[in-house]
Amino acid sequence: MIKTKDSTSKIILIVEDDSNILFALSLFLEGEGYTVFGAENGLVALHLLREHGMPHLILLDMVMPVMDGWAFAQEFSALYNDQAPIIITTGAADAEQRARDIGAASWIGKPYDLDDLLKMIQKYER
Amino acid sequence: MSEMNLNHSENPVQAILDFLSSLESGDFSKCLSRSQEPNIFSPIIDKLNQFRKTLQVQAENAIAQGRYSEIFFRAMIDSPKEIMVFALDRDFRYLAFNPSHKQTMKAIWGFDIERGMNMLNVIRNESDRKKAQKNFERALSGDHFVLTEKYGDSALKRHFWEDIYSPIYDEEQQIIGLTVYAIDITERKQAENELIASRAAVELAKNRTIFLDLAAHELRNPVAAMSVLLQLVQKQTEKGQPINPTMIARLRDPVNRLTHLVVDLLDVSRLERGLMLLRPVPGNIVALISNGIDEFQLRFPKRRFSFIKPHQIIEFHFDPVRISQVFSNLLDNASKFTPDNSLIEITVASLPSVIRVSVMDCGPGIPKAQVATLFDAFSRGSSGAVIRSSGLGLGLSICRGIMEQHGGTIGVASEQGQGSCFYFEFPKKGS
Repeated sequence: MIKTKDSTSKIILIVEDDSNILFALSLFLEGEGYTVFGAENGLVALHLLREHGMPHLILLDMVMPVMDGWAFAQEFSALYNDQAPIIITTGAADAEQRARDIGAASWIGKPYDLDDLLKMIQKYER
Repeated sequence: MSEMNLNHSENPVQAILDFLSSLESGDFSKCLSRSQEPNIFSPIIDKLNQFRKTLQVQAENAIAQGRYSEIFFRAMIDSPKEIMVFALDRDFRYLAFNPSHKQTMKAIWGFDIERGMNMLNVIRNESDRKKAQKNFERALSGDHFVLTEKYGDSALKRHFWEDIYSPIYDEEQQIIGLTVYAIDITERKQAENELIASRAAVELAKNRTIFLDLAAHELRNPVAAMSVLLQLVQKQTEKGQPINPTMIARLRDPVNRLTHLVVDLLDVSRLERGLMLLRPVPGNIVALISNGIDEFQLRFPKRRFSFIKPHQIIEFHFDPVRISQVFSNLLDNASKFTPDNSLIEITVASLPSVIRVSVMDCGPGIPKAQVATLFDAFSRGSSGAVIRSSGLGLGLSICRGIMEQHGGTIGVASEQGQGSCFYFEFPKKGS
């Protein structure tokens, strides 16, 4: 888990099993002024939500071990009534369908441009 | 026949005796024809006359029916060319057969069969003869059974037959022979085989699609990681910030993963096209395995590796690079699926006909349904997250290809919850 704290910044929860992507995204978003929490699967993400409360946005990978994106979205919806927007990050061909299935705000395909991702985050963050 | 006087009512005893002897001779019709006037037996004789007529009609019908049954029976066994019928006695000599069987035996073995001929002497192919004898003996032991079998000539123009074997019983319930109804189901079998082949093609296409999805996913993840890391490096450079050395170091991991993926894909492609060339040299397998274990002990310090090896040097020709690849693949799987501090036991054994290397782990084991397809490149089993070396589930299929190229085999004995024992074997020369 990667964690940075800044009382005024917005919080992003990244759920991603690839440690390199998690590392680089965290570094990038922290550089853009966000506070970032990282979880390597859905279960760790649920634990972080319990510990630290609601983020302003969740970046969610779909295929992960232990608890995947679908299972996390279901739990998140049941426990927290979709209080934070979710952007799914996926390499799958049916990304749009996946986003609709879990009620995500939007989706971005892997590999993505960091500036595009940033614009999308700024558009949907609460 | 003695002449009867049925009018002598004064001697009824004689009359009855005469009547009975006329009955015995079966010619009781004369009784009535010869009597000029009614007498005490007239009503009985009338009844008997009616009875005789009925019997006569019944007898005529029976004869007609018998003739018809024979005609029907002949037509039934003669007409369908694809059905052979024959009966044998206890010594496998023909009791009867239909023309279709005669023609088939002539076509296959060149014999004109006749009644009394021993059928086994006609079947010239030894394995066919043994198979036939076994089935005949089974029928002679009282078994009724149906088998789908392949019989045919030595030029391998073989047909599929559905053969119905039954014993023949005599009146004392003794088995005196057997009958065989053989139906040529070659066309049906061909249609079935075509259906199976087309289903397999559909399954293969489906598996390839699943594999492509998986490959796309596995390729995209390291590419995405590299892309994000490089974009970040670029941004830092543009801002005139010093490059974070961790990010450069982190690039190595996705590059390695991509390299493994590409190498695995190349290996599978080479194996499928028969282009993987081995470079066998004389080598000591015990030393190669021992070095491999040392490497893994460094990589996985929390696993306990135990090596059971023979005292003698086992030297033969093999490709050390490829065999290291096979061993590393098995040891890698075992290390990943074995909990900390548990044992992985490696054995090299010189068995009567093979040299066997086995890797036994205390992992979760493999469900039975997945064992069958574990070594297939594009199977559903390998696309699951059970065992992967590259992430594509190609590792074990490559290992199988390498072992087959060495004239050897690879396999696994596993039960869910009981761990797995993967092994590969080299044939000993001359065995």
